[in-house]
Amino acid sequence: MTTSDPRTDLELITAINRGELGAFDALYHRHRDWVYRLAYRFTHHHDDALDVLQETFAYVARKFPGFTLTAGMTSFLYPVVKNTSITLLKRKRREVAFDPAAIPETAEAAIGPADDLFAVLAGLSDDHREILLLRFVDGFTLDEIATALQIPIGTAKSRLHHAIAQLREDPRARKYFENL
Amino acid sequence: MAKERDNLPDPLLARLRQAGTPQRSIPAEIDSAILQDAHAAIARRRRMRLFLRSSVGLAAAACVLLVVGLWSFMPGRNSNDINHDGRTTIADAFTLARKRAAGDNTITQERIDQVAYAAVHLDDGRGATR
Repeated sequence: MTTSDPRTDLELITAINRGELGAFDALYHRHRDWVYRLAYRFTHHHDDALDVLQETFAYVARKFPGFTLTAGMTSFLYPVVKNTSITLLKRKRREVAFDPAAIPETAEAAIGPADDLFAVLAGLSDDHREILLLRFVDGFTLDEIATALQIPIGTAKSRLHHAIAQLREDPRARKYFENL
Repeated sequence: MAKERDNLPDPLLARLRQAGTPQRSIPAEIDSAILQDAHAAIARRRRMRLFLRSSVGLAAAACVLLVVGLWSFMPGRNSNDINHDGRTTIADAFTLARKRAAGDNTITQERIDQVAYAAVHLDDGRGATR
């Protein structure tokens, strides 16, 4: 299987540019789970997340040949997934008026049983929630966050700092910080 | 200290990661469809790129040929029109002969004869020699 391809993303992209289609498979298998998880986070719906996954990799495929990666692959993919998800949700919102079956699953269903932490996260601003998840769920560095969100690194730092401070101050999340 | 404050406790990290993990997986047929479409798109774009590249090459070559052709048929580009008056006359042969007499060894007698012949030879019906 192509998942164990030892080449870096950059090397795979060079190979795809040369016409090696198998390298695209390796790139896909390396990033598809993360893209799907991210899409799921934005859409809260399995089928929508799959649609976003498809559209994201169709977009990536259209970049070849001649694709040049100037940042990390995930930093490149993040805005693609986010914008594709937003577009899909807008489209669905228009359809919902006509098709009740198109109503997305609830956010609780998307992330598991509702609990205090979910309520705390839901209470954060979109920017703060986004940066927390990027840093601690996706494992992005501050540089990668700045690139993905197209913001200065100083802004990323202060946004993350404020998001964590807000978490610490929330009584529902305090139990997590008690032993830190 | 600031670094510590910008970290999260492990149980919170674990809960966050768990929250971000969907319960369902990607069906194999979705994988196949995505990869099949991607392969087709990449192959199509490669073909298009090769076609465009060769078309641009051919168009450039055609342009060069056209320019060279036009240039060689331009009035005054006749190699026998030595004095550039737009016609080949015996004056052109005299001009060459004078240059040769003045010591220009690049001009041969054969070349002077050739110009003189072009100046006096009869039109073959396709228009006057210019």
